[in-house]
Amino acid sequence: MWGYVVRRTLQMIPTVLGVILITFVLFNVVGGSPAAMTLGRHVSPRMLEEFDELRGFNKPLIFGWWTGTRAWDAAAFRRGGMHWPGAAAADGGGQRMAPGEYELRTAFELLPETVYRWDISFMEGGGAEVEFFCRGDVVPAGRTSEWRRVDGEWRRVLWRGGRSAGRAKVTVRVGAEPAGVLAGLRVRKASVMIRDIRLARRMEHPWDSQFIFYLRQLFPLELVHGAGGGWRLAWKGVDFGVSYATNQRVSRMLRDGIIPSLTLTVPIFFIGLMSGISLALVCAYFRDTWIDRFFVVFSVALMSINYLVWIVAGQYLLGYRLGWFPVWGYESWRYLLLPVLVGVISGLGVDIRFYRTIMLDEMYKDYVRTALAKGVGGAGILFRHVLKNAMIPVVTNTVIAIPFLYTGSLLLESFFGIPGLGYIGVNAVNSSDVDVLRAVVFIGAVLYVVANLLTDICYALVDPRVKIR
Amino acid sequence: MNTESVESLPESMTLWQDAWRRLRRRRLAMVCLAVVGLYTLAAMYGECVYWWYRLHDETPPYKRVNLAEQYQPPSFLRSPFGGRETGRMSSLERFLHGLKALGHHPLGTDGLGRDVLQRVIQGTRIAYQVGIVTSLIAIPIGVVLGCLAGYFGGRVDDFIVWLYSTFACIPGLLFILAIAMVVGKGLLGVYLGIGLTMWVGLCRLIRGEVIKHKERPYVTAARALGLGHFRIIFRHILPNVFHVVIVTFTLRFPYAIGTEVIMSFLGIGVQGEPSWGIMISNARLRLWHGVWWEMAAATAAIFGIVLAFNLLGDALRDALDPRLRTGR
Amino acid sequence: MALSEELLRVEDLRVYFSTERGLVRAVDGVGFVLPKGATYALVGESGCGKSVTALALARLVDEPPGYYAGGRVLLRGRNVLEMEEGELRRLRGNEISYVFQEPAVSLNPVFRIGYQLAEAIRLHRRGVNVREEVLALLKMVGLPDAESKMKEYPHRLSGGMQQRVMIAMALACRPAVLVADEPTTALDVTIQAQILELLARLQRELGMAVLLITHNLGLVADLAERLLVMYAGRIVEAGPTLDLLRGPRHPYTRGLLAAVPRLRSVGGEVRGIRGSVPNPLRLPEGCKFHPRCPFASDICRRVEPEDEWDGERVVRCHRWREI
Repeated sequence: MWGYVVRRTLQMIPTVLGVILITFVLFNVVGGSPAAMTLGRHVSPRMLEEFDELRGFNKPLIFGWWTGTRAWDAAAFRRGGMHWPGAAAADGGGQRMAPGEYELRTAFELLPETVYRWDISFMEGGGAEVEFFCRGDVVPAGRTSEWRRVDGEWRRVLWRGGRSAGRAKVTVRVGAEPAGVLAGLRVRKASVMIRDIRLARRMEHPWDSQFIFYLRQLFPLELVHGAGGGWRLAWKGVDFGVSYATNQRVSRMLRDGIIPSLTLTVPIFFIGLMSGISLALVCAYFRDTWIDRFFVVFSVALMSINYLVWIVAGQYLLGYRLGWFPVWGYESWRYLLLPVLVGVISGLGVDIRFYRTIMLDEMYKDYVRTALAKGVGGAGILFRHVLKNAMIPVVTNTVIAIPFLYTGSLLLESFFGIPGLGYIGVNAVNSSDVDVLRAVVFIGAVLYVVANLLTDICYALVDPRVKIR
Repeated sequence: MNTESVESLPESMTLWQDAWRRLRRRRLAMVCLAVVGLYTLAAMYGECVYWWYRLHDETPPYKRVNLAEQYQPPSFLRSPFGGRETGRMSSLERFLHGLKALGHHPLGTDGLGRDVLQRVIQGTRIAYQVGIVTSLIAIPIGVVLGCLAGYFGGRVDDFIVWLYSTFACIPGLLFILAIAMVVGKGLLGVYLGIGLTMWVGLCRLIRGEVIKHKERPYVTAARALGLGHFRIIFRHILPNVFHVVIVTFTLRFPYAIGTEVIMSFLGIGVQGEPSWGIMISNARLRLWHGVWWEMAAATAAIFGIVLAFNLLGDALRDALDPRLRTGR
Repeated sequence: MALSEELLRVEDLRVYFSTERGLVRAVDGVGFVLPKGATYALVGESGCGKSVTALALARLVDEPPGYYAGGRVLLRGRNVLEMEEGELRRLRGNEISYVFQEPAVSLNPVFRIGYQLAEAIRLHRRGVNVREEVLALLKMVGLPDAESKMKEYPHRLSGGMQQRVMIAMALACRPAVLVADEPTTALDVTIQAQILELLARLQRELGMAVLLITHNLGLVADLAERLLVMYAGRIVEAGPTLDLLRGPRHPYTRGLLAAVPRLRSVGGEVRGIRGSVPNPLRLPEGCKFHPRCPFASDICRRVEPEDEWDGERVVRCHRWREI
């Protein structure tokens, strides 16, 4: 048995990795940094950069030496938003720059002791000569032979007439005092058309990426230099980062949300299960009579009513009109009555149908005929022989439904004002709170994987036919 | 086998003819089919209205704000055949006037004086768009991956099973909401959110069916003829498992509609168009003031289409393949 | 033991099924008398209604879709078809019990064997030591190591063992009638012989009446005293086994016998009956066998034959004297 459990646990690993990959692709690759979306449009690039820094969005995706930085607004340059005298926005992006000196002013100080790269694309240079310069605590990096040191600044000619298009990359290293660092372009002889200027930051390590950042959040295993010398592995506790919207640690928010969620979903789960199974038994007992047919129609009708309608109708009719239940809030157990009722009713249709199918499947098995031939009565057949066999699919399907305890009440919680995980999740969607949402999705998926494991173990325990190999 | 026994068998029919015959015998299924047809017509009418006003660059009636007519109850509750202004009319005139009044906002108006019936019809259009587009995303993914996994087995199968079991792990509604959030609010988010999660169940079913069919003699025969793998999969096996697609489509269509309603209700779905979810969301607050008809119209519209599709899906499943049992 | 003492009398039994496609007359006018302690065999092709006949003896046909359209089943003079639920329950497993075709699915998979046997005992017998009784039953059917087998689940036993358990369960209350519905069909050939031997031995020891239902004529020759041949819901011929096997009268019986392959006739032709079992929804007019009968004449197509008695033998054929 233990060997089986261990093996099944190991089989979970690829799925968990898959979940990590999918959440990563969804939130990091497709979604990208939500900084602008969450912080709003009128926020300084420095704040955006800090937002990204905290969440690792300013790193390369999976592997790479270079990563973008918000210190230089490339989009503004392409739009012609730099407002340089002597430069004008060109059709199709970029700027036409007359002879003169242009400062490439960054939105905020560059990081000290860091290598940066300017990437400049030219078009139709004509006879122009373009020179890059930088001043302050900065030294050239890369091919230093092309650089000259003149008047306390480093200069490098990027472009001299004769070519039609191209790009130049300039790599510099910012020293310990980034405050006075300034870079710029000098255009001489004729005007030049510059399509694009980008700034990239060099990572100290190519694996210092968003993916690894995410993994280290989930598996915070670190080599620590122990007190008695030597190294040991330390587990720092899973960290889902900080919620932007509430400024709390996500793990803390989730921990606070578990209890309200459980107080809502556990009653729904058990009451729903009991009523579903009992009504299914009623159907099975009265199969092929009008009672059974009524419940079949009834369950399909229940299934067809949208969840929202249950919530709205419950709040309006039972809460507001009849005044039986409080409508909104989480103060005492009375506040749970209505959401539990709505939760049970909205799930009842599916449950009855499902359990009825299971029961009827069993009713027509050969062992039922054997039991009948032995002289077992109708109730004995149903409650002893059929129910015990039906418990196998029922138990496995019940265990697999456990993760729905976690998110099944997404809507209920947010519309009845119960501060559980579902409430947190819906709020996170509304406020584009990526950290929270990613954590909620991830935990939900992991719970499902664990429930799958439990299902298999339960299956092995309940069904004597399953061989544990 | 000789002639007598051949005679005693039912006339030979294709699977589809047989299924249609069985379906036709069920009165309830035929009623559902008619209801679905009615909704389809409404959706098509809605589409025409939408494009007509768009091409003429006018505000469509379902968006036209008319504060003078706000909160009008459905016309049949406004005693169309009586009232003050009809006092001096002949009975025929009164009847005609009544008819006209009946046709004026038959389902009443909302808080901005917009016609509820027109909005419900537009909601039908959106619901159909969502159902169809999400199916167009989910069905090809599910069918192709399912066929490949089932037919080739081995590494391909391992990979695809891994892929869909990973997708299946992620809590459904939350996943959809997350996709929609990442893609951005609006219909595109709804399409992608629902479409990219809905293929999982279909893929699993198709894979199972293809595995069963892979061993059948007709596939062996096709292979012996030297047909290519893809020809065998898509020309020989797929038509035999296509009923799974039909049934899944019918049962998933209402699911997509319901999810769209929830997403629009939460404010991350349809923007600026009268979807059923938005109608419910608006009507929810007005309900407190006794304006029930907007709510009633939207919920009844949803209930009707979902019920019709659910019942039709069940009947289709029984007709096409009794082995596909009701599952979660 | 007087062989002639009547135990079970079936008169004009009719069991119909109303299906989506129409009415199926699965059993249509079957009658026979089973004396105490006798072994009868009911034979016929699959689909001829023999299993339904067997189930009807304890009113075990699923209602709906099936229903009893007529006739009587008299067990010791009481009509089973008119019994109340409670009386019926006391009858089943107690006075009449069953052994079904596939032991693997006929035993409840989630109960231990001991429990399933004990249930049969507890339902009908008071004041016995159930455990002792279960052990005795298992020993009686020749299950080795009964003590540990009791605690096993059915799937842990082989097919033959499972069938022995089924038999033990059927005999738990020493029934007067044992109905064995194709008890060996699902088993290996070597096991088949063992199970039949076991049935024969137990029949001798316990003196019960056995109705053996099979489609395999070869199996019953040694076992049954009397053969009942069924076709399309009717008994078309009945008689003492040896007489019937030596001199079959109904053309269907002849065909059936000719279809039994014999070792001696290796290389010779195995003749069958042409055609197949008719569609139960569209049974032919007249004699139900006439479309497949090589001797069919005009009257066979129009008029359904009645039972014709000749000593101990019965046959339902217009032309049996001529052919």
